[in-house]
Amino acid sequence: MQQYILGRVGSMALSLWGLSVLIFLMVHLIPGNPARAMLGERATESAVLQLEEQLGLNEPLPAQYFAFVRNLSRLQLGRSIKTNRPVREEIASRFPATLELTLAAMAFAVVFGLSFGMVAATNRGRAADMLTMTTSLVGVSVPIYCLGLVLVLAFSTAFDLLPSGGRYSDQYIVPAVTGLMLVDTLLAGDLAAFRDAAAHLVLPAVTLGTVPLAIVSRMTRSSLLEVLDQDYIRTAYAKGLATWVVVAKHALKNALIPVITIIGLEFGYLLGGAVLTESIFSWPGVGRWLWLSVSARDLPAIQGGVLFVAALFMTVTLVVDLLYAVVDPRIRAGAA
Amino acid sequence: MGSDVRTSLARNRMCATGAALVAAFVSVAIVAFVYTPHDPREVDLAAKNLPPGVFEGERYAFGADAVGRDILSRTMAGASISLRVGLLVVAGAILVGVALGTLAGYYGGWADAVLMRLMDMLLAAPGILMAIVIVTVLGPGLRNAMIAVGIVAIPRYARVMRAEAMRVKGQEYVVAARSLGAGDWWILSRAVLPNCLAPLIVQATLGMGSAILETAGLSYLGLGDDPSVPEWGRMIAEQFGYVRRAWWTVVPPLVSISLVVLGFNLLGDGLRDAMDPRLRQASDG
Repeated sequence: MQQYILGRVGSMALSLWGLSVLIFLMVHLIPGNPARAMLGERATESAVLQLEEQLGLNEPLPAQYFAFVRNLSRLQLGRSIKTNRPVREEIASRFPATLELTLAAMAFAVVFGLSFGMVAATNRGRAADMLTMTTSLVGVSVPIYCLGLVLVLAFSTAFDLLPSGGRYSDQYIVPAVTGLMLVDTLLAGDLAAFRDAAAHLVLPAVTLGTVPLAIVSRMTRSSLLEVLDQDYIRTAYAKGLATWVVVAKHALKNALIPVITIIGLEFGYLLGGAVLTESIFSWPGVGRWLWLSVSARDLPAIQGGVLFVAALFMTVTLVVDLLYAVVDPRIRAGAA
Repeated sequence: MGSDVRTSLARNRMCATGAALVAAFVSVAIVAFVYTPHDPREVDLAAKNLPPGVFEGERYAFGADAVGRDILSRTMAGASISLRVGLLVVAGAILVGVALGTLAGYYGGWADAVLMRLMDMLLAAPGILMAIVIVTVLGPGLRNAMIAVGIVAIPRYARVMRAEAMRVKGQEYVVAARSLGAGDWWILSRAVLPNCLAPLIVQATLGMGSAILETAGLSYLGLGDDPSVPEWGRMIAEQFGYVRRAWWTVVPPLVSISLVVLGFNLLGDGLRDAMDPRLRQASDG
């Protein structure tokens, strides 16, 4: 087991290092002089040179890479060109928003995905199965910005039930403790603000959670069907147990292992992949910030942001794999 | 037993629906190469955000967009663009992915280790993010967006091909061919590749859907061609601001792209079941 963990951590470190080289090279291949791009066309030549010096852009590429890695080893990601704040702070100030959105989206995806999958598996081949599976297939086929648009049109424009963007309304000010609005508003004891934050969360979370919902429901269905074929399930039925008892108590436990892996992977993926959703709903998270940094050609921000997202994704994947190994002894045996 | 039959019948129906959607999409795309009711780029400011109907003696079946371009013509022309996007992206990604996957799976050793780490790197960050960074490096434009989406799609084919090549290379017919003195090239092209086709075709079908979806996503973010080009993602983004006053302008591209992607997904699922009985068991229980 120890060897397995070491091997996995080693290969993750290797991938991350490779990605850092890749991202570094890509970012430095972006055409145009970044200093010129930032200062605008009318800046004087000396101002451009000065900024180049300040950013270290006049150094040879290997020297720039070593400086980048030296910073990285101290967990420094450099300074954003646009705001002149450390990239680490920029990310830290936005990450809670992304985390809250991701948690809400995954909660939606898991609750409905598991239910859909269970309904489909226990009604195999019948209308309920077809309906839930078609719904989930439509869920992965509709572009996320289309879904966001339709939801905004229906719930915000037509019926004015929910806000169409942002995290909260301006009149509510609560002290930031955890950075998660739902928690902070409760800590402040402000129920009106809590309702406001929750309302802002609904549409983005549903938009972001639809693809994982579809994946979780398909996975739950196929995994449950496999388990429901086993002898011990037949035994449980033969004992005269009700269907829901058999499914909930006997089948689900074994069927859930692959589903949990998928949930973990999707969670890691959403943490960094919410570029489109955050843009549609003006959600002040890491994804939208990264997108804005790309538009502004903010090199240190892109570099640091992508590496952060990748490291996060890899860590979540690693934790999921290790948990899987803990739950399923066969993997441990295979690795040893 | 009865439910098995019912399931497979219903699955056939879903696969047929997928095939029909794909066929309709391809037909519209081909027709649009030679005929659209209006010029999809022709601007008529008087017809701005027109609801479906007749205007100045001209029929606008789906209405007109914010600068008065015919939405039906643009949606049709968008089908040609999306078809080309899907085919080129998937062809490119398969070519590279199959080459890398074969190298890794058939030869193994350090080539395998290096190539698969490289694929891991590409998979380490979310695809759309990687694609955005790549397009930023290459500069915006539909061609560059396609290259970005293609690069991000390579690992998907490389992994399938690697697994297949590893499976096939141990088979008796490959060993037999080698013992008869066949070279690597002969074995790869005559024995390995043809036996790896089924899963590749399934991946390619599903990949068409995601290629179209992802390229439209980049185009939606403004990383595609200029606004005159009738690309579906771009059409939706452009009309985004008018959606409250003229909702009908976004419906045709929105429905088209969803149906096309759904079609490829249904067809891909169906092909997977039809081509590989082992996978049928895994996905059906």
